[in-house]
Amino acid sequence: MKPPRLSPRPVAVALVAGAILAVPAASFGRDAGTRATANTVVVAQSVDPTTMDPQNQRETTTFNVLIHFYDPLVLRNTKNPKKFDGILATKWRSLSPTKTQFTLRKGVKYDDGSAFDAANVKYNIDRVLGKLPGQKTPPLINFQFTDFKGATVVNPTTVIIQTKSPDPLLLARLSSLLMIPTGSVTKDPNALAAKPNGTGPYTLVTWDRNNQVVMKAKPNYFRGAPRITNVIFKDMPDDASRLAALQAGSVDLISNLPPANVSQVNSSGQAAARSVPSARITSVWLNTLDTPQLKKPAVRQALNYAVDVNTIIKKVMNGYALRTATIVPPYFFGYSKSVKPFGYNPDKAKRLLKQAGFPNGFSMKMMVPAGRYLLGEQIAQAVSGYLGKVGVKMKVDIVDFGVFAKATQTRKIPASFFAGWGESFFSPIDEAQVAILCGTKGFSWYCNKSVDKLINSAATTINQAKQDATIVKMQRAILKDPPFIYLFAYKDIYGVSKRLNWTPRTDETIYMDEASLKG
Amino acid sequence: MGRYFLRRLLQAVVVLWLLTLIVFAIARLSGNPVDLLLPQGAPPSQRVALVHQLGLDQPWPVQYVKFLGNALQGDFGQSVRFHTSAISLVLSHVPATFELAIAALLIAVVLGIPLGILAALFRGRAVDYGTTTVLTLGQAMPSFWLAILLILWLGVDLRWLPVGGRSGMDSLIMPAVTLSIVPLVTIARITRSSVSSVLPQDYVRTAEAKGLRRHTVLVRHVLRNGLIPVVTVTGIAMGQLLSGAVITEQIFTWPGVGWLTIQAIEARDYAVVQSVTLIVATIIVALNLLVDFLYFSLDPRIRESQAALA
Repeated sequence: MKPPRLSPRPVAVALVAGAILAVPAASFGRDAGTRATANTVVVAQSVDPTTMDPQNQRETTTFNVLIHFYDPLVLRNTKNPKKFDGILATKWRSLSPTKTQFTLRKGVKYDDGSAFDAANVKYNIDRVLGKLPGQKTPPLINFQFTDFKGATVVNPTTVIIQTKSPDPLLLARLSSLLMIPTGSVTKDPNALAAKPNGTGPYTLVTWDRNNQVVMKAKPNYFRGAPRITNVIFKDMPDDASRLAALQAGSVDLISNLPPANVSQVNSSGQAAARSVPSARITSVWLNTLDTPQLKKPAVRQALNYAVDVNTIIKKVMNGYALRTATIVPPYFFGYSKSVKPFGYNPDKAKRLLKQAGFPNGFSMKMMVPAGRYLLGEQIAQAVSGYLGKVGVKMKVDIVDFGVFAKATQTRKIPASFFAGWGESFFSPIDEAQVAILCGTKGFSWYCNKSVDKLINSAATTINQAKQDATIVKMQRAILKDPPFIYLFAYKDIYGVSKRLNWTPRTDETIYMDEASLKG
Repeated sequence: MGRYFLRRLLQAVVVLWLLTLIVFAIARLSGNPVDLLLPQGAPPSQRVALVHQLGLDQPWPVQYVKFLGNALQGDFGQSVRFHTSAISLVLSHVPATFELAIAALLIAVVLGIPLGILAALFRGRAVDYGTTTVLTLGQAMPSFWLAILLILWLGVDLRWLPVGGRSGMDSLIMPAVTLSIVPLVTIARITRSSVSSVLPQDYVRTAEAKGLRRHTVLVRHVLRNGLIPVVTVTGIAMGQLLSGAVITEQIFTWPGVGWLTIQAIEARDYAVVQSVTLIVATIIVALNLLVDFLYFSLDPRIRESQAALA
């Protein structure tokens, strides 16, 4: 039976009308619009700040926002990351190997009108050490300050900071300590986490969680008014969306641009890719304590000879990486041209394996956290491919970062894992202390007492030339007895709008006080 | 009748209680948030202090009883990632998700129903084949792919719409269209099959035969009967949309519950994961309860069956 023939006209009319009406009809209350406009710069990052408390966070993305509201005593120089510029401190001098005196800037005030002075510095040091009256636990940033003893107020503009042992990384550590006003922890911790009250170049306008942070410049900032009046940090988790926003001109600066997208950005006419060597050094950690084959230094040398790192840099990283001989790139303290990387020599690798008693190679596993390090999975696969050519069958296990973190914290790792160590101190000492020094509690699966001596000596040597020489000796030692398969330092790639004057920093900080708009 | 309501209410409470148990256990099975909060080089003493501060060193049953006790008083704990009250964090993301869900559903209904009717009216002809082909393609297309295409076309090339964020009415268009595709296809298909099954019915032919106008027959006799399953499907789609559209929200940087949930899961932010799950579950359970009560009052068959049971 045929169905009756009904007129489709009303339906067609409804269809067209619906298409026109549906979207506008669906819109109601929302927040203020944001676009890159004449005096506004929009920065897109992959994550929203986790808090406005600068001492209770450890993410670069959060620090990038908070450095605009709060100031540190010193900040790393943009062009030369080994040097420091005074921000809240005007000068500093060493009184003894464990005591450094800082002279503070006068007349600096927080947003609420309270004064910045020496007592305020002591308050901040006490807080990160968990020593404030009634304070139960220290804030997250505490791990960087475990060697600090305390601060002594000399007068309102002079303070002495004391460490337990000589600390060559003192200034580097202080550059990450953004100063909060006295009393803010006890007054209202929730306010501290939600609304910044700093001495920095910008003040908060709005913070719409998981969306954006809007800030405006302080015309009376003590280092001069910022040249960019309004800055918006947008949370854009998706790589493709960040790239599209840059190409569309709705954002001015994006970080973590994948190497494969560089030419796309450069040909857009809207923006250009800028890269800077990163302080993140990649290596394959070798479990030399629990894996019988890896106990022999010759085997670990063989693994280093077996991997063609330069080709990985060229093919996987599109050239956006820098080969390192060990864990020290040229812009770190202790770098020396005389320390040469293992060359690619598969024949030598095979010989060394044979001498070590593994003429037919062996099998091992490598753990890689998914999505944690730029192209980490691909790098690991490439390393595995090269090792296969000399008879070492490496199975790559790609795991969630949570699983990776748990495995490393509980020290239940396979024979190896791939990781990138972000070294904000521009010195290999911190990584060496945590990942090379003999230990069964840290991040180290390696032990060599003579290497320990060199690391401990470098970690307590204040004289830079002497420290550099010790680091060079340490590097030579860990080339003979390698704890890792050494790979490279990443290069950070940014997409930068053509209307923005901005120089990328090696320490991954995005600081708009240093930027300006063209024209 | 009173016993029926009471029984359904008790069932809802039991469902929610079981859910708290499941969410609590699953969140903790994924590992400890402290592993992710502190860097690899953090001293063990800081790790121990933080575990203690968060109360994660207590046995699970103790943690659960505390969680349940606080939750009953409306306190779902502090977010370890965002350092704020978990419940207020989740609630602050709900409006964005509601807005997106309603917009998407509106598009799906306003376009899906007429498309389904059109296909049914022209069943077996070119219009039907064309419509069903487009719908099949829509269903097969991954939402992230459609989202990227829309962004590149409307956002980057034509620059008509913002590529992301929740920053004005125009920013709603692309995420709402992306999110509407799946419910649109479902609604259109159900409408097509339901209307097709109603069209050959005797009462439709009778209505035609007694000289009613064609669109009166369509609206009064065909759609009134044919749209009942569509209403059910639309209700289900609404529930799904309200629970957050993870991929769409992430690609379009839409600050809704879905995106918050992903961040919370990645950071093992127990309090936020628990809050999101319980709030969404409560909404869905409450909606189901409401529907049950409405059915009870609207459909005499249910009333009779309940009376028979009693």
